Amino acid sequence: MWKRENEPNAPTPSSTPSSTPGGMTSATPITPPSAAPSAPPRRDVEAAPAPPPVRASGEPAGRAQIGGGTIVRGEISGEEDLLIEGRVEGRIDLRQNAVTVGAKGRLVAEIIARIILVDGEVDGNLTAEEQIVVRKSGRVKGDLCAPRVTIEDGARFKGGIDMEPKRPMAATPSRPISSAKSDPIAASLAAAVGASSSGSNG
Amino acid sequence: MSWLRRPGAALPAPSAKEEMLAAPPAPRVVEHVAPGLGQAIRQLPKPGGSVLDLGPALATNIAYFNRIGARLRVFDLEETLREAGLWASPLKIGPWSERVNAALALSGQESFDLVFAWDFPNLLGRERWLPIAQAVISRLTPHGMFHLMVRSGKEMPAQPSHFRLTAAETIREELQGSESLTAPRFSHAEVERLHPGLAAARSFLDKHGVQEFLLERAERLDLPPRAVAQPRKPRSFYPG
Repeated sequence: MWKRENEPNAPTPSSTPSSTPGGMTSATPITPPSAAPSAPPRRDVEAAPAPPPVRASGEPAGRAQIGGGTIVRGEISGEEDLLIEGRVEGRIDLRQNAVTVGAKGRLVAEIIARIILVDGEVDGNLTAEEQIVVRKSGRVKGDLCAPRVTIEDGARFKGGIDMEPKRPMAATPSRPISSAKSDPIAASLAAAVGASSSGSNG
Repeated sequence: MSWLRRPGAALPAPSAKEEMLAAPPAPRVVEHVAPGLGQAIRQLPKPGGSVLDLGPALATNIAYFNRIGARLRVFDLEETLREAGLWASPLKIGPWSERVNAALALSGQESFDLVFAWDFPNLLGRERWLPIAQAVISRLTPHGMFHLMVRSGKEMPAQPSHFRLTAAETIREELQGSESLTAPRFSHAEVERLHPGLAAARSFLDKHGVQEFLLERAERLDLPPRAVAQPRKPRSFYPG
């Protein structure tokens, strides 16, 4: 009956995947840690910031961010999740991580990542090992290649969609990357976005 | 009774009526029986058949083609023509055709087993649809199919509808506005003339006045191809 206003129905930057020491990934809880189970829920409760994701090594896995006033030209690679609110022209290769193109992000770039979420504009091919989500505010011109592709109604998309199931590492970088361990985060993320997407479709 | 609410107390959830009033008006929905769709899906190579959707990207359709293992290319013709300033262009057919071909430059040399053109022939009219149809037909595979939803009524929606593939032989149309235009009312023969080299493998007129066409290459159907449609000459008001 009561529902928090900020309850996510789609992946947010605070719910990026995190790895546990056991090597399995799990969803980062966004419920306020201070909320007691017996306390009545309040609609105006703000969700506390999620704890930073933790890598298998025990080190906190940070998330890099390219701010709105930044322009990057060239290739970006690394082992961190990335949020882009600025402009990127070139290539982004973060095969083990999530790339989020924020609402203000403008990319003319090829993206290779584990999970790709698009709220802004991308002109280029996207390849994800797990999933690609184009939200309703997103605009993509290019080919999408991932086992799961979600394009919310209202999103602008022009290009091809290749949703072949996971396959072994391909030689060309534009193909999906090797099958990795299943990721509950990606599954829950997909379910959340899929539900919102299918809900809007009736 | 808001003056009785304690400061800081949670606001009550909006009623269903309030939510309904706040929400944008839902599009009108029409369910079309589409046996041609069923035939096209049966004939589509599986897996790996390639499909070109000239409509916008819709999650339902993407999921549909994923289920049947088809590769999908979404073209969004309306958006493409709007970006190129051609959607409402009154240009003559020659220059319009050149600009349309530039806007239609599909990536690579990809060819398609099935093309969904929905109601674009109605909306664009014969002169503007013909060059688009020719450009797309040149990308059909030898066994390629062309799917259309042609309106046979006097009027048609002024905006392109969203067509969703909801079942094997059902297409759900979501009308995007309340305005309507006079429909060109293409005959069966004219539909074939507007798609050079193709002939109707199946057509079905449903109770909503929408005729579904599934076109295939005429030689594959052992039918003689029809002459290509020509722009109509304006009729003189005075006889003789």
